This record gives sequence, C-alpha cells and structure tokens, in this order.
Amino acid sequence: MFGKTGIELLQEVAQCPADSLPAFNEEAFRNVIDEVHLQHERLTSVYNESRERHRQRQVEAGEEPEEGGAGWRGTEAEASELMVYHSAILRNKRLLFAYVKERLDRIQELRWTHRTLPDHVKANLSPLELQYFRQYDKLLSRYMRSGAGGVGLDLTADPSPPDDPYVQVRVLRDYGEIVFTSGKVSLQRGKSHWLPKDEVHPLVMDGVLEVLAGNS
Amino acid sequence: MEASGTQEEFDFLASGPTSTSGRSDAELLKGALMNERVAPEVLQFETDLISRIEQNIDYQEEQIDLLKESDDSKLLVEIYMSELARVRYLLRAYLRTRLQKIERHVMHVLDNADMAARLSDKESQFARDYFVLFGSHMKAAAANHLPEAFSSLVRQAAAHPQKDMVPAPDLDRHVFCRVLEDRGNVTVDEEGNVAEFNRGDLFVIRYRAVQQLLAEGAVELV
Repeated sequence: MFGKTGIELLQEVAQCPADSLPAFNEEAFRNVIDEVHLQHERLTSVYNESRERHRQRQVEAGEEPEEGGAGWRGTEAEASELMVYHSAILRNKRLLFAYVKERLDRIQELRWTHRTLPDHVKANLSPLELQYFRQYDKLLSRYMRSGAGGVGLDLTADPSPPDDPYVQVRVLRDYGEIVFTSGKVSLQRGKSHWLPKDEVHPLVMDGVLEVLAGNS
Repeated sequence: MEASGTQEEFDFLASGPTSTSGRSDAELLKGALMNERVAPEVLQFETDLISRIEQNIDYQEEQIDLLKESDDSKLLVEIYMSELARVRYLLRAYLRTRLQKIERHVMHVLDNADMAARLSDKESQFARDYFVLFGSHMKAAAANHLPEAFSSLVRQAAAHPQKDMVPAPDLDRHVFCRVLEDRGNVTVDEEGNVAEFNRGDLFVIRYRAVQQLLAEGAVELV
C-alpha cells in the first residue's frame, strides 16, 4: 500500500518519549524514497504514453499537435491513475519531511533543555543530524553571547519565574572555585551552598549542582 | 532626601518619564511578553522599550555594586537583586518566545517583507542563518533524494503555482484579549458584524479581528 512505510517511519518518532529519539531509520527512509521514485516513474510514463497517443490521433486527423500540459487529453482511467500517483507522492513527501523535521525539533529542544546531547540520543543520530546540532548550537550561542551581535543573556537559563534570588544547592561533583556575584565559592562534592539562582542554572543543567527540594 | 531620590530611580515599577500610558517599563515588558506569548504570529519588536530596559539593568547592576560596599544596606541589595532577577526573567522570556516563533515560521517571516521588518537586527541575522541551516539540512536529508519535480522545500510539487508548503501562523486562532481604549463599534468578521469595545472589556475572539487593534495598543492579549 502506498504511504504505509512512510507512516510507520513517522510513528517510530511520534511514539518515542519527548526527550529521546530512536535511531535514524536509514533503511525505511530509503524504502520510502524508492517508493516515491517508482510512483514518479509510473506517473511520467502514463502521462507520456497517453500524450503520445493523443498526438498520434491529431496527426492522423491532420491537425496541428498541441504542445505542453494543456494539450493533454486522456481517458478518465488515465486521469485517475495520474491523480493517485500524484497524491501518493505528495503524501510520501510530507511523511518524509515530517520525519526529518520532527527529529530536528527534538534535537533543537535538547539544546535548550540540556545544552549538550545526552549520549543515548547522540548514538541515534545520523551524521547530518550531529552536524545540525553543532551548527544550531553555534548559531544560538552567537545570538545569546554578550558583545556585538548578541543579546548577552542566556535564554536557556531559568525557565520558571524567579521567586527567591538565592537557592540552596548541593554539589554533585568537584568543580573547583567559581566566582558568583555573591562571592567566591569552592564547589566540593557533597557540600551545600546558598547561591544566586540565575547563576547556578547552567551548572544545574551540566549536572554539577542539584537544587535541594523545597527551593526549586 | 538625596537617598530617596536615588531609590526612586532604582524602582522599575515607578513610572519613568519615557514610559507611555502611565505604565512602567517593567509593566510594559510584561505586557509585551504576554502579547508575544498569546499571538500566533511574531509581533513588532519593542525596540525602544527593550533598549530602555537594558540600560536600566546595567544601571541597576552598578548601583547594587555600590550599595554592597556598605553593610547596612544588605536588605536593600537583596530587594534590588530580586527585582533585577525578575526583570531579567521577563526579558529572557520575551526574547525566547520570539525566537521560538521565528524558528517555527522562518520561511514565512523571511518571505514577507512586512513580517521581516518586525524583527530586531539580531533576530534578522538569526532568522537568516537559521533558514540556511534548516533549509540545507532538509535538502540534504530529504528533498535531494526526491524526483526533481517534487524536491522543492516551499512547493508540494514544482507544478503548483503557489508556495503551498510554507508553514504560516494561524491568524484565525482564538485569543483572550482585554480592551485598553474605548473604541466603540469594531468590525469583527468578514460579514461585517460589530462588537462594542469598551475599556476593560474581555473578549474571546479570533486573533485576526484584533490584529490591528493590538498593533495600535488598543487591546492587550491575556
């Protein structure tokens, strides 16, 4: 059935939890592409055959053959055949695009929520997608950097409205000394500190700190 | 007296001389964020407001540094810091919301001079670069493998006269909006039906019907 492989391909991504991705299904993707090419071949050959027949009839009747698509006169059966192939190609195209786009959306989303790709996602990306992530990362960092051409704010920080300017955090791994606006702090595993909330967020995303319950 | 004068300048909620309609810059920013969140399309970038806010943030940071030097203003520093954190949050959320909408409708925005003019310079740069990145990935990953007649990113098939594959915002989506200025009877649909817009009224209405009023600042989205 036309479009069946395509919809199955898309379902693979759609049914996957939002923060992960299944491996890029090269084989199924290829199969849908092949299906499109097959449909396109049939589409062209049916069109050309019926066109040629019509031209023959016109030549036999002594008329000037018409050129271009406007000159096409086919039977109802041929017309429906063309329509079926045409719509099937559009559907497959849509499915393929949706597959690629949905994967990109999730890759971008990870840049916003995790900053880097988690290993289990990274392993499932195609080389093109890995490249996409790197370039998107660069693009977004450029927009957010301070100085010329950037807004100087980390837009991925702090997705919830602030209540208290300080939060209590626990250090999950040794990270050395960091200078916060509240002063210099040595981040040693297991210690807990009160630190400015918007400044700890990047470290929380990197898994260096965790926000203690009741302070989130 | 001198001290209280400085404090007033700190306060984002105090109405500065530059702000319009008696609302402070922080309130205006909050309004801009709400409008931007609710509206299906990217709105005009609030160039003046954002530059005032940015200046104010810098100024407030300097003042906090000054205050920190004396011990008895510790509470004051805390208060100013939370104020600052809130304004920064609003600003980040505003820029983030816009960026997400620009990404979603990047082709529509760039294709349309009227829409493109609504972006800040930095956003324009981002949109152009993003389009190149996104477009080349779509081509390399999918479009280039399709037969030529069907490989366009903007048309479903090459034979289609219109760009029928460009995702565009749905202007017919319903939104909640509050009226800020008395406008009397306003035409709200193609059939010429009117509704009375009085200050303080709340409507659930298709976005398209209030698009113009929103741009004029006569309504706000909530």
